[in-house]
Amino acid sequence: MKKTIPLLIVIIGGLIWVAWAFSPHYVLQEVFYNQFYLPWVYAMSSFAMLLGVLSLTMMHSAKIKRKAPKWQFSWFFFASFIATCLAGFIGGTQKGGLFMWMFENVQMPMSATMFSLLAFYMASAAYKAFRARSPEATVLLIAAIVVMLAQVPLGVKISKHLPTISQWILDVPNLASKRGIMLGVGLGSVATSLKILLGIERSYLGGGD
Amino acid sequence: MRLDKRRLILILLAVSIFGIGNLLAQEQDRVDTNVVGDFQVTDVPADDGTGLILSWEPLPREKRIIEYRIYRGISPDQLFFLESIQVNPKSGVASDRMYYYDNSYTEISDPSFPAKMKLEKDQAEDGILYGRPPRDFRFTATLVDKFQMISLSKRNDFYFKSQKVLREHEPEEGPSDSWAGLKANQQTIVAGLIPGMTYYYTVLAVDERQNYLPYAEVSSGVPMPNAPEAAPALYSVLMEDTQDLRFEWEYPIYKGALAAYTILRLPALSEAEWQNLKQDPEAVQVAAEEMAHGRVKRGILPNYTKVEVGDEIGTYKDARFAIRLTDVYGSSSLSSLSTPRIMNSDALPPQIQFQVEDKPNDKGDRLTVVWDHPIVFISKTTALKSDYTKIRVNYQLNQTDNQRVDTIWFEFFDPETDASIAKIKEFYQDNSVVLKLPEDYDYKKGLKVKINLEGLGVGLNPIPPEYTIEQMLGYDPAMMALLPEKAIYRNDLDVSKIYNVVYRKYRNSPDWNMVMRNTSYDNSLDVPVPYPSMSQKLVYGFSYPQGDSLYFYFNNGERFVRARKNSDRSAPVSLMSHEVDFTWDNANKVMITTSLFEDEAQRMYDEAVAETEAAIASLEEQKTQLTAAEQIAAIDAEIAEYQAFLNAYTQNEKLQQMLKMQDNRNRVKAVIKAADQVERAQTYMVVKTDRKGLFVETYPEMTDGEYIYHTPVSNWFDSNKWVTLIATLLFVAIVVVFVQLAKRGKDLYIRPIAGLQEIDNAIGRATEMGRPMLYCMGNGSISDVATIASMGILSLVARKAAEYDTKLIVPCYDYIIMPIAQEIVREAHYAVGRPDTFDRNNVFYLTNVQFAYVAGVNGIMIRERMATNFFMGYFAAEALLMTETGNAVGAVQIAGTDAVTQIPFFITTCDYTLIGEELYAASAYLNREPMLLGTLKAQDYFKFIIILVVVVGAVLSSFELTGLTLLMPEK
Repeated sequence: MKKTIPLLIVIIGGLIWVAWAFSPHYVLQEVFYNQFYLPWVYAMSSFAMLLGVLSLTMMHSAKIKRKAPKWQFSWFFFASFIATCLAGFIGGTQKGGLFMWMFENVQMPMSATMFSLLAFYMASAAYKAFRARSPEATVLLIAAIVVMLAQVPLGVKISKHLPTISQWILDVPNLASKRGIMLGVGLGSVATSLKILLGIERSYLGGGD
Repeated sequence: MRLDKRRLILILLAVSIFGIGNLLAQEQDRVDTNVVGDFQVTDVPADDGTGLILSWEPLPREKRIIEYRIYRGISPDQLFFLESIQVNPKSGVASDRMYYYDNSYTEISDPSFPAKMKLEKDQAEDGILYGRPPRDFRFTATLVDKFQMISLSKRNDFYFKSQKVLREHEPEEGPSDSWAGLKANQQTIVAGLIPGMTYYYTVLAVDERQNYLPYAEVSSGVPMPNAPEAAPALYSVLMEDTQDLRFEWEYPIYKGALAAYTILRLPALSEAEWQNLKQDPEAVQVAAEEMAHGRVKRGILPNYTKVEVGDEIGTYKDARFAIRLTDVYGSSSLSSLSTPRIMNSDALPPQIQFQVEDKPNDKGDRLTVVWDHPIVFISKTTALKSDYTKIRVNYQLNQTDNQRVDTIWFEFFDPETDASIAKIKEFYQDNSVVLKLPEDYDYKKGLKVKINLEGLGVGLNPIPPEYTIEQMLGYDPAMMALLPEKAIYRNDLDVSKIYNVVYRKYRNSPDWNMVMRNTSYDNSLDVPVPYPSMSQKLVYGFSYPQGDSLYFYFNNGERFVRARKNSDRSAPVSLMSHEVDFTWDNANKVMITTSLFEDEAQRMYDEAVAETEAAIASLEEQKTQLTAAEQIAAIDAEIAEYQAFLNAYTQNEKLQQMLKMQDNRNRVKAVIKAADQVERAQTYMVVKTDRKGLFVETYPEMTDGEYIYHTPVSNWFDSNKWVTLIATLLFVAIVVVFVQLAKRGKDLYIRPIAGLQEIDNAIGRATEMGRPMLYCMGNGSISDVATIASMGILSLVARKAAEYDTKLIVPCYDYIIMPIAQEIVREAHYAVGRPDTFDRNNVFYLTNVQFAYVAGVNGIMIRERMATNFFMGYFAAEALLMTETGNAVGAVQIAGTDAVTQIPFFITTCDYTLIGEELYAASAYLNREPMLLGTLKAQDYFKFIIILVVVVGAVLSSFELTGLTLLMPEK
């Protein structure tokens, strides 16, 4: 019973979505989706958010209680969580308020910093990938050099055919392999959806059986 | 000089005075330079008296202004935020003056507005600027006679949540006015200006630091109705053979108050004489003869008319014509003179046969008006070789969803010799063809292109072979390309200046309203017929309780108070008419209205019947005293009109059934359904015109003397998805077959996937090292298949981890996934008999901000010194940041994703990677369960079928057989 009811819900819900995908009827597109489904999603997601906040609070308070390694950092979570909440609830989230100020001057720069690290990591990953240790890696290295050179004016100076070759690499072998993967992904996702719909795949219900 | 005490004081005093003076000057300067300059409020010219123009000089770019905020009020000491104009602080405002037109309805109460009056930011206690008006009808009521207010609410809210509000409560007090009342949180109220009322405005700038700079001096304006602008153009055509005069005109920009037009015939005056004559209305009256007149209805009714003149046609050849536009206030204006063109009916655009089609595969909110076969025209060309011997020709094909073009023939000619150069058969329409020109051809001469189509056109009849479209391609030296010229010939007639104007008519109105004017490049128009979802009602006033009294504020300025009764609602409400459209009685041609409230509906019915019967009786009595046949006929006509109205109310079955309904909710549902049927039924007319007086009308088809009305149909199945459905069913069948085979014990070979085989080793390594493992499910949501596949793998990893007593940390990106992940890990611990080792805090929500998540996960990896990392799910830019960190801490990393862009990063930084579908296969592979293996095998076979279809489709297409390709859905 513990698994049957959720499974039934999933199967019925899945069948409704299959109908939604194939039918443009007003009842499904407007009444079900816009008037029923979307408001429910909005309502539910706020409760789920509460769950997330509770989980974080529990984890950090346990850390502090147990004096787990680096437990002091958990205080930063509480401090910033409370400060952000107060700023949002009292001052509002509109532009010009403390909340938005914190978002623009604390979170955005920090996110940008993390993102900018990507460039260095990419260089390191490229170094690893382009080491010509095998014939395949050598092909990869050559292809990468051609494509990269074609992106800069120097490439055109070296050969006027470089951009054409680069475009060919991107349009033919690259796109072919990409489409191959995407075809597999598409079929795989249909198969997974089908497995869920038919009750064959149940791992998402927790446990294995 | 010695610095004694006195001198020191003097110096300090001087410095202080200088400092304070400087500060004051700076402040004054700040006030002077930060206020917008020359703020003015003026009346909108030639409008209906509901608009004002606000203008000001913007601040210089150095001030880094991000927005200008406009405030409006009905007194100079209390102004509310009205609108803001966003400005790019880097570029500033390029023009010398900024303008804002306050001539449309703006929100004055909305559920998102503050409940209480709130001073604007940076305003002193006694400041005059406020934010949005409060969402409090006690306040809004005080403005009801200062603005024209309209309530916008969800239709279901208006029909089902409106409460009945009575002016006089007690029945013994006699019949009472009643309204439908809605609360402030159930509607948005928009307000428009009223002619003759004074409104106050100011504007302030906000800089990049969010400082609200000082506001401009409050200025007032009074919107006044003005005489309408004259029609910019009147065209007249005298048709000699059909002996009629045709007029077509254009409307001025402000046409919101236009009510009527009159075409005047004048003697052969010069334009200068006419300009003089126009100044004297009486002289115009004497000189002009009225030719035609009609309604305009804010410029949406037809802008043309035809007058039969018969044998007197010769007298009109030297006449001049002008059009007088009159607005709802009675003001009018006269256009310039028009001299008629003398023509014959063969100059008219060709008569057309149009059709109205239901748009297929939609939810029933569109109709298509089709007046022509599919149209193809060249849009541009690109030289593929520098000597122009190879050119890519891009074309556009306009066709409806029901029409079908199988083949397009492009034939290119030398425009000088008319010799054919090339003929191209386009059997698959990809909007471009490649034209090869002879090497000796001088491309600068241009090209003539003739286009023929094969397929199904109007009415799904075959496109006739003589249907030809011709275009000229001229060489443009500036663009260095052959570009299409403006003229486009359809069956040898240049249609580039002919427009197809679509008009619409509802059952309950005699008017044809313009929908859209289309060029001849279009062969059809999709007309939206939305399902009504909003209710729009004029606000007559407001009512709110206070103490023992109930207050009423009306839009005519009247205020009224009565004692509050227990049955009165406690919330303030807006007052709207409770009368609504019900149904169209086709037999009597009467629109029947009813009320939202049961008792009012019955009262309306009784009153309508009684009043009509009384009117008929009175007319019958008058008739007995008449002797003149003409008068009797007139009164009979009037009686017939009343009788039709009476019959409609007393004999309409829908109305009788609706009135008998006991449950008001069901009754209102019936009202909505019947009203929808009337509102969504429409008929169309297409007018072909050159916009200069040569027009041909095509009216809709009729049955039994009535136009055919069309209502869009909501389709249950999208016919474009037949192939998808069949393919899905085929896939299901293959899955079922393989599952059955697997159940019967057939050994199904699955190729080894290294990433999955190594999971056990990776877990074992963490166990041996006594360090934890990290499982990251990516940033996908619960609706992503990759996330669901990841859950399956998590279940298996968690089980092994629980078995070996290895700590597994699962930081979640999505708070909806977090409880599911917790449950999966908990179940795994229970399954291996180790519930004691389950720690809920190891599966937690981290954040759903992409890079904050990276920072969190990287921090955990470094602090906990992970032995093994799993990255399974959907990933974006964060993938590399996390895996590189994992690499740095020396963890064994196994990744799997269906995000094509991230796979290369995983391959370079992780030890094992599951590519695309391998992620989905993981659960089946690891479980080795026959059912799951069956689906995996079915997937492989279906992939084979897809490859087969791709190859067959490519081969067939090469032989011009595109049927299979066209069967495939495009998206």
